[in-house]
Amino acid sequence: VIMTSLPAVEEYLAHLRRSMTDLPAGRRSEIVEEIRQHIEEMLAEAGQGASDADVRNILDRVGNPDEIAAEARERFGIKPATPRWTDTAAVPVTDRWPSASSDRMDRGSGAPVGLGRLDDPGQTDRDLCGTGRAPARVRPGPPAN
Amino acid sequence: MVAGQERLLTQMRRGTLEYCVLALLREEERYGFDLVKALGAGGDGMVTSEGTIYPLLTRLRRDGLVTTSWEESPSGPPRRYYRLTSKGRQALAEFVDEWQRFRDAVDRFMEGGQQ
Repeated sequence: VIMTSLPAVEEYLAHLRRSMTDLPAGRRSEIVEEIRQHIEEMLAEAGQGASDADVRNILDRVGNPDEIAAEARERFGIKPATPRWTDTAAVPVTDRWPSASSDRMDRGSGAPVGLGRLDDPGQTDRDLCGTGRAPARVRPGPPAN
Repeated sequence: MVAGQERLLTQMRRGTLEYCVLALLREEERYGFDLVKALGAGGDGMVTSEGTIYPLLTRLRRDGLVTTSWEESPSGPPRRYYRLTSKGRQALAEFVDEWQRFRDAVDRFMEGGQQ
């Protein structure tokens, strides 16, 4: 009986997979497949008439995917790879992407906010540290050099 | 409960969990769901979220303390069964030794304190 086509379960497993993208692929898929199996066993115990609430309850018991990912990191001795915008803000912008064009930055292909060259990076850094917030608007810089 | 005690208990549970898993496998092989049930998830059990056992099982396998094999299940897809290796058996025996010594040492103080 294959029941894991349930959208809530697939969503849960996708979340879990996303939370562990910094783990080696083999271990990640092993954990995801084992948890899929675990959920299937729970669904089998619940019987055919499992309601949406039952499914939610089961997923709650399995646990928060982010916590499972954190547990995996600890068990494997992997440091969390969650880059924060402050990590970027501390690096002089022009040194980081010396040849970046404004065009590339505009597209924002996964690059953190605040990579554009700023007229006064020092001032901006102070602002960022002071408020703990990213600036509302970052002007893309001109092509560097 | 005194601040920090909850955290200490969590850490103790977490640190000893892998040996509880190895101990559960001493007599028989088991699959993940069965292991979680035996560990008594929630309440006074060893794990709070059932899913957190799987990263540990994966690591025990990578470390060669357990080995796995697929076996048919009477109801549904095949299950991955975990079995103790000789390395795992040895690690468990060493821990049991250390644990008894540690437990006795702590007990001596706890019982002494009550007199």
